Amino acid sequence: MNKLNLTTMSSRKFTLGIGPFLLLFLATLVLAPLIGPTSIDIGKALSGGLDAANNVDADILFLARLPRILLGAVTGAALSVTGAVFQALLRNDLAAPFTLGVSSGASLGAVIAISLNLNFTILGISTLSIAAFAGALGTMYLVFGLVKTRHGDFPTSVLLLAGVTANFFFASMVMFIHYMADFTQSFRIVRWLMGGLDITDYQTVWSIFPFVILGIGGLFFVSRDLNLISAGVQSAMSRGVDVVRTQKIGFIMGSLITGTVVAISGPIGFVGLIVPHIVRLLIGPDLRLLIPGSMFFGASFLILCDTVGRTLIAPAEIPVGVITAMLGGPFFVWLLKRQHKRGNV
Amino acid sequence: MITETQASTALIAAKDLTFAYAEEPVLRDIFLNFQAGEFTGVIGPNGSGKSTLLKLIGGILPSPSETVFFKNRELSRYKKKELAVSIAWIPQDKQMAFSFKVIDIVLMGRHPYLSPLSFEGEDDYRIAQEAMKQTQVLEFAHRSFNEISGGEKQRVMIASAISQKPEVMLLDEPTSALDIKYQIEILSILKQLNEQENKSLILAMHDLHLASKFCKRLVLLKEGRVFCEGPPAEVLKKEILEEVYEVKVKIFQDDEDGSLLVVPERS
Repeated sequence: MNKLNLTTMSSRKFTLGIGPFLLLFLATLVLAPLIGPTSIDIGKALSGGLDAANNVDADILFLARLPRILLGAVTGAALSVTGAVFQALLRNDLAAPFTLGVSSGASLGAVIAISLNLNFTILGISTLSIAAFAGALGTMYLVFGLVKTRHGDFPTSVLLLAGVTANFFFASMVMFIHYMADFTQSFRIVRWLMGGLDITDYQTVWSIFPFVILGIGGLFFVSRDLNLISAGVQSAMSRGVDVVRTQKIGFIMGSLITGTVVAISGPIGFVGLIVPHIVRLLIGPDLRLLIPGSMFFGASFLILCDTVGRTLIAPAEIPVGVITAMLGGPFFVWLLKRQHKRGNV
Repeated sequence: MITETQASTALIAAKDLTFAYAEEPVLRDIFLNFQAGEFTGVIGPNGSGKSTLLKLIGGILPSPSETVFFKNRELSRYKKKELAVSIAWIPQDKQMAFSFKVIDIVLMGRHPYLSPLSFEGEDDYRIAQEAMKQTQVLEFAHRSFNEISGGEKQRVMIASAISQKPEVMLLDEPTSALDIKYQIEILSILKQLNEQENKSLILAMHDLHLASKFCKRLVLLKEGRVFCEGPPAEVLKKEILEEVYEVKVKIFQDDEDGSLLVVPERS
């Protein structure tokens, strides 16, 4: 008989689970800025001041690449954590901000804000972000309201179908608004819809950072409740989980961080589907590990996808959303097939 | 009729409980008392409301106001975690979307004792380990819950409920879809919990023979109403069962333990 080793879930186990993902993230953060179509001299970049005229290396490193990489990190982390939480809440690994229509709802909100020329800020938050968040949250209410049964459960296959339908519906609304828009707006909409991390600066990154951290923190706070829900809603109730409250926190925080990053980065699909799945395969379904794990791995994943995007056919660039979609499409089909075999869908 | 004095000594009481998912009530006018330390089986044909009754008593489904009481206090007046350390409920369906390990599932029973953001400590692991020993699942503590057999899953769920340290355990069809060996195994574990630790048990059951063998008291439901209740010998009678199940039956008695075997008559 094999020896039983019931080590407690101590800080040690936590560190062992999360450590590799943190290291990967730090390595990506250090190495990715050095890679690009223009090779830069790191010594020169770090030695001089930030004077663009005298120090091209520093200019490329600190003004072109680093903010973009930081935005990639925040976006990847937000979408991945949201995916992990949605999958737990719905007990299905096909759930993600993209497949539930939340991303496209946020897109619609953002495009409406652009077409109405809402260019001001409220309390330092741009109307674009607020509109994207409202779109994300509105979609959640719409999709779940349509699907919710009398007993309060959400049949997952119907939910995903509703999500995909919402995706198409919002995409056509976006096209309609685009068609009606004048030339300037049209350009802004197209540019935004392409999705990407390329047009950014430090100020943009810092403006979304607090919301994403707040959202991820809120989700981590209910991570054990989410664990129990992911193992069964009614069992969770009998173990003292406030299921309704946890669902609310999960869906609202998930919509908040999805809306926040989609407003800046545009619709980037499939990250929230792929990342939590890979992390779960590596360290298991415990949300206390899965949330921080997905945060670090998601950040690294999107930075890497974007690095590939900006170097593969340099000097031209492939938007990062195209790279994730090319990876994500086949991945989704594979997951669907696997679930079908297990009889879950 | 239930008098006030009887109701006040009951651990769990249902008073004039009527419940509907949609328009049509699933349970009607239920008056039931469950005393501490009882081993009760809830029986009745499919759709008679057994599972629903258990969920209402366990606070899984919201009961109408002033209908379900635990220690004379209405269920909705308890905090969720407060109720969870008193009453545990084990579902019939044990499908799990994610591959949690057996130990993870058992430790979930410790949830009501933990504050947010805290990990399980030494005590929680010790309690989980004892619960797993008691239901003989300790040897596969690190296996994936989805990979073990139906009987093993049921034992894991019971271990999880034990680690919740409740006074009452509600089990929805704990032996259905199991071989006889596992059925007896599960019920023996439950019997032990009842006799040695004075846990109150309420089981929804299909198998009338097992119900008569293990339960001290049976509640027979028909179309959402309590048809009759009492010791197994008083409930499992030919004329009662024929009316409730709408089939002719013969009843045999096991000479050794007095348990009753109900078989349909050939028509």
